[in-house]
Amino acid sequence: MGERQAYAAAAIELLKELKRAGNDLPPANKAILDYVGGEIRMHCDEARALTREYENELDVTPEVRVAVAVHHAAIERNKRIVVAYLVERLRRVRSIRWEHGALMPEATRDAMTEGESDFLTAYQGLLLDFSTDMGVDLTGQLTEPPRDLFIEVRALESCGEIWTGAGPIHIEKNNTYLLRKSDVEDLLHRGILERTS
Amino acid sequence: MAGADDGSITHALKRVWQNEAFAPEILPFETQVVTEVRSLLSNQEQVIADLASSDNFTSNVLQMELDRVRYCLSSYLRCRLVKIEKFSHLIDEDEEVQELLAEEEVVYARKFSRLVHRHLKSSFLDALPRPFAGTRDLPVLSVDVDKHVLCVVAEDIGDVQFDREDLELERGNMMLARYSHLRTFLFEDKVQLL
Repeated sequence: MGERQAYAAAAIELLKELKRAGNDLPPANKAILDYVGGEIRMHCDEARALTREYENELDVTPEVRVAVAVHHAAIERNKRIVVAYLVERLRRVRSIRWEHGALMPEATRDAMTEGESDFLTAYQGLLLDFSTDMGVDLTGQLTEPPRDLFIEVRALESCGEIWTGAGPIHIEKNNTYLLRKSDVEDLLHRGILERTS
Repeated sequence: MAGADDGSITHALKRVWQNEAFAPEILPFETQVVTEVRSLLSNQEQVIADLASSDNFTSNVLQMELDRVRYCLSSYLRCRLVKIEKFSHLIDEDEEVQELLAEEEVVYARKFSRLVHRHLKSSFLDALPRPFAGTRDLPVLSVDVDKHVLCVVAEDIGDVQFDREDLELERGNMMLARYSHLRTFLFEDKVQLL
C-alpha cells in the first residue's frame, strides 16, 4: 500500500457529506462505503499476514503486536464512523417522515437506499402497532398544533361524496372547499386533497 | 365542557409533556394521566357524535378542544418515542430504565433496536470479515444529565448547594440550572421544566 492517506480518511468524508446537507438526506455514497469495506478487509488481511508465521501466540514479538493493534484500531475506527453515518441517515429519514407524514418528499425518496426504504416501511409498521397498543394514533403528521378547525383545501382528484360533520359533500377535481380538518385528514394524507391555507 | 374534572387533567397533561420535552432523560411514564386523558377523549368523541346533527356550534367547539388535547397527548408520547429511539440500545440492556417505560414502549424499544441492527447488518456489517461483523461494542449515545434546563420552582425548598452551582429554590423562582441537580426535585413534583 503506497498511499500516504490517514486511516479512515475516506470514512470521514461520509460524515462531512452529511454535515454539508444540513438536516436533509443526501444520496448514499455507495462508492465510499464500498471503499471503506475494502479498507477494512485490507487491514484484516495485513494483520493476519503479520501473525501467520507464528505458531504460538506467545511468540509474537512486541513490534508485531503493535502493528496488529494499529490495524485493529483502524478497523474499529472505520466501523464506528460508518455506523454513525448509517444511524444518522436513519434518523434523518425518520425526522423527514415525521415532518411530512407518510408521503415523503420526492428528493428524500430518491436519496434513500433500498435498505432505507425497507427500514422506513418496517418503521411505519412499528408506529402503527404502537398506536394500536396505546390507543392513540401516532401515524400522522404531528408538527403543527391545530390552529383552525376548518381548513381550505383544493381537490387534486374527484373522489365522489365524502362524509363530513355537516353532512355529505361532493368532491370534484380543482374545486376548493372549506372543511373540518378532522374530516379530511385522511384524504390529505393520501394526496387527494391539497391544503391551500 | 363535557365532563367534570377535565380542566385539571388537561393541565396535568400539559405539565407532564413540558417536563418530558425538556428533560434529557426519559421520565417515568405517567400512566394515570394518560389513562384519564384517553378516557376524556373518548367521552368527548361520544358527545360530539351525539350532538352532530343538532348543535353545530357546540360540536365544533368541542371538536377543536378535542383536537388540541389529542395533539398534546400525541406530542407527549411522540416526545418519549424520540428518546426511546435515541437510546434504544441502552434500554434493551437496562432493566431499571425499562421500569420507567410503559409496556408498549418497552416492546417498541426492542423492535426498534432490532430493526436498526438488521439495517446495519444488511447495509454494511455483514460484508465485513467475520471477527469484525458483530453488533456488540457499537458506539452508544449516553444521556447528558448535566445539560442546563430552565425551570420554575413549585414549592419552597430553600437554598441548596452543589459543587458547581448554588440554587435558591423558593416557590415562584425561575432559573437555569443543571438537570442533574434538579432531577430529584423534578421527580417529587417540586419543580417544573420550561
